Amino acid sequence: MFRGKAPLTESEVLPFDAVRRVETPEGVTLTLRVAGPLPRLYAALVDGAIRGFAYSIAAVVLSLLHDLGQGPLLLVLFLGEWAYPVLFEVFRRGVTPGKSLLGLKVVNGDGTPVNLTASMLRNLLRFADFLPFGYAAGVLSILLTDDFQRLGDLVAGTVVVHADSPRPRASRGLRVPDVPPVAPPVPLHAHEQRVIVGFAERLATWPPERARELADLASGLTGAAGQEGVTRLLGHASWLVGRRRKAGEGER
Amino acid sequence: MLLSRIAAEVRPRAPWEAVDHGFGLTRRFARQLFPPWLAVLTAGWLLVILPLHAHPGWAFALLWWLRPLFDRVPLFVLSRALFGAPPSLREVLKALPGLLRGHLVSALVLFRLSPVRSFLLPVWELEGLRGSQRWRRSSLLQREDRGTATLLTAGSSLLEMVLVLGAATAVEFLFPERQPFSSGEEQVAELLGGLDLSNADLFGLLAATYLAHALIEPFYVSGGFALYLNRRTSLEGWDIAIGFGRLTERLSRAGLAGLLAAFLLPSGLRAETAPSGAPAPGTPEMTIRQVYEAKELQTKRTVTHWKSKKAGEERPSPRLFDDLHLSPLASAARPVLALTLLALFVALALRLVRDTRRERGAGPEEARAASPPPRVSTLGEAEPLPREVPVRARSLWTEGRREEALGLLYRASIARLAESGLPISPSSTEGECLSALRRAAPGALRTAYLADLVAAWQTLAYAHRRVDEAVGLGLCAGFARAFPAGPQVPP
Repeated sequence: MFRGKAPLTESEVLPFDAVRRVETPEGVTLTLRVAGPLPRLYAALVDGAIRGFAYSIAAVVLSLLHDLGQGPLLLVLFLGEWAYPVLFEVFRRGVTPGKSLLGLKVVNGDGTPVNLTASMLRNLLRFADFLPFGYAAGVLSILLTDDFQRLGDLVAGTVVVHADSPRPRASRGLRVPDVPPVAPPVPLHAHEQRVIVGFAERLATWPPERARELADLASGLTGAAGQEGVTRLLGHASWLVGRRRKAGEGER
Repeated sequence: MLLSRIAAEVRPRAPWEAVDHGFGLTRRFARQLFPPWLAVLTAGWLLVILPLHAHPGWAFALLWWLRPLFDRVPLFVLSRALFGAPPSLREVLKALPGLLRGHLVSALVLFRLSPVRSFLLPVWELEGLRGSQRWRRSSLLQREDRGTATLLTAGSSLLEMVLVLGAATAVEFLFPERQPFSSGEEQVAELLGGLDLSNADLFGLLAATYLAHALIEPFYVSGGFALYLNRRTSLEGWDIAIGFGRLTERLSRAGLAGLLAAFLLPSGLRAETAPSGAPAPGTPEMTIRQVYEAKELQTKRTVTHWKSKKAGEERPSPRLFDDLHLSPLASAARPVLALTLLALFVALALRLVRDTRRERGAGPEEARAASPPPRVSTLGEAEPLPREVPVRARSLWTEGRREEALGLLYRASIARLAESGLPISPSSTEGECLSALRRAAPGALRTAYLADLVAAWQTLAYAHRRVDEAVGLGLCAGFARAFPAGPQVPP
């Protein structure tokens, strides 16, 4: 990336967003929604609790062997601390149970799935992140680096990202009302189409007054105000999501 | 508040993503955020600690209780920076009395222990609502994201504790004489017990807490602020409002341009064609031109090749070489050139036919007789073989020129063998010579001798290892026996 040489940096052109932008060779820009210290802290706590539970079960079972069980128990502890994250990250595409609960996953800096080498590197360097005590170095590194990377991430070139659907919760399960489709009077950009569809999907979450206020803002497109504007926007949204039947007709 | 001027991407986010967006905002506006924050925080802490220096424990508790007051500063800076007007340090200091004075009771008594403090801080500070109105507003916002806001508060305290413990442990590492080795667990126990701490320890702890708090608290405040903004974004459709506003703006601009084009068509055309020179700097045209002038895009090169002038057209004079642009002189010489080429072809063909016939006509016997005998003697031509080979070799060996001695013996042996009719060519290797001899005279004395000689020669010359004195002298002595003078030995 040639951020320094470009006349305008991304942060000056685009409004701020906590994402890492990756440009593919095809010129497509992908956005990775990097995850900050708190979700990662809670994911680590969940993983720690799972491991602790497993250790206690192992300790109870191995205590039946009296002194002989101490060696195997140490082995279980060692494997739990060092192999647990690597195994989950490699075989479950960067998701440990804790990360899954928080909707996070580990990926390479370019968004590709993390491989064995990178995963081992970032997890072996937990030792450095832990110093001097309780991941203090890791917390500082996450707070101070651009993409919330701890030292292990910096060395392995990985980032932790929000993996859950980018579709916001607000429009999940909400549909564009089934009204007769009306083609928009002018061609629209993709992001403008998304706004209109989003308005229609989330219409039910707003009081009618707020919906009319919002629709008034689009009067440049609808040429109408108040409830008439809302109706026209709904028609456009219906058309934009692909419905093509005329009013009064049934499904084709 | 002008939504269109907001300096952050507005879209409905998942709650944790919103918190992380807030953390990112703190870093984005760190330069505007931290100077006033550190100034106010330091002044406040000094104001509390100096009168209470005899009772650091009380100072610690009081500072912890007063935290919501200090939180108002980063929120003030962030909310203004987000809408395009980041305040300077002086502006913040000027606004400070007003910031600190408002609703102290609710901040320090009623809601001091609220687990969603940073989430609701904007409602209290920025919306300026009072009484039941504020209560209704808070409960509406809290209907969702309350859990995340609680975890945000707990997690931020945890991060702060991690940093304090880290600093304490680092100090323990650096001053080991205080305690031989104190692990983190002991530190925690000590902290929670809090009984054996001297005043010096407490001041150290205060300093560590100050540093950790100064770093973490702006992140905590902006995390809650972002969560609040995200909640309002989905409640009020901020992203939709911004999107519709931009759409209307674009359409009105497009409409205006359309009107201009319709009414002022001729002048518009002239305006487009007139500026053939350099466009004004800063315009898209100029930017595009600059991009195309970049070194990476300078890929012009000259390519020369022959090409039909009128591809696909019927040629009026279909003559050979017509496309070649020949000079008049060359045009005159063209028949001569063609004749010469033809003669060359004929001569080549004749030569080829003759050679083929000769090779086929000559039988294998004839060919072998015609070819010269293997000139193995070339081996000796470089340096003629001496008359008494064994004597010469022995003297070379005793002088220490052992490679030359064995070389001489080998050359002489090969020469004798070649004279006796063994089929050896000058290019034969030692191994090939030996195997040829083994085929021709298996079990003969000279075969065994040559095998010994080759082994010794290869050991000395190729492997660079010592050959025993006895072996070398034996080879010198054995030559006469293996090759009795004269070529009368039958192959």
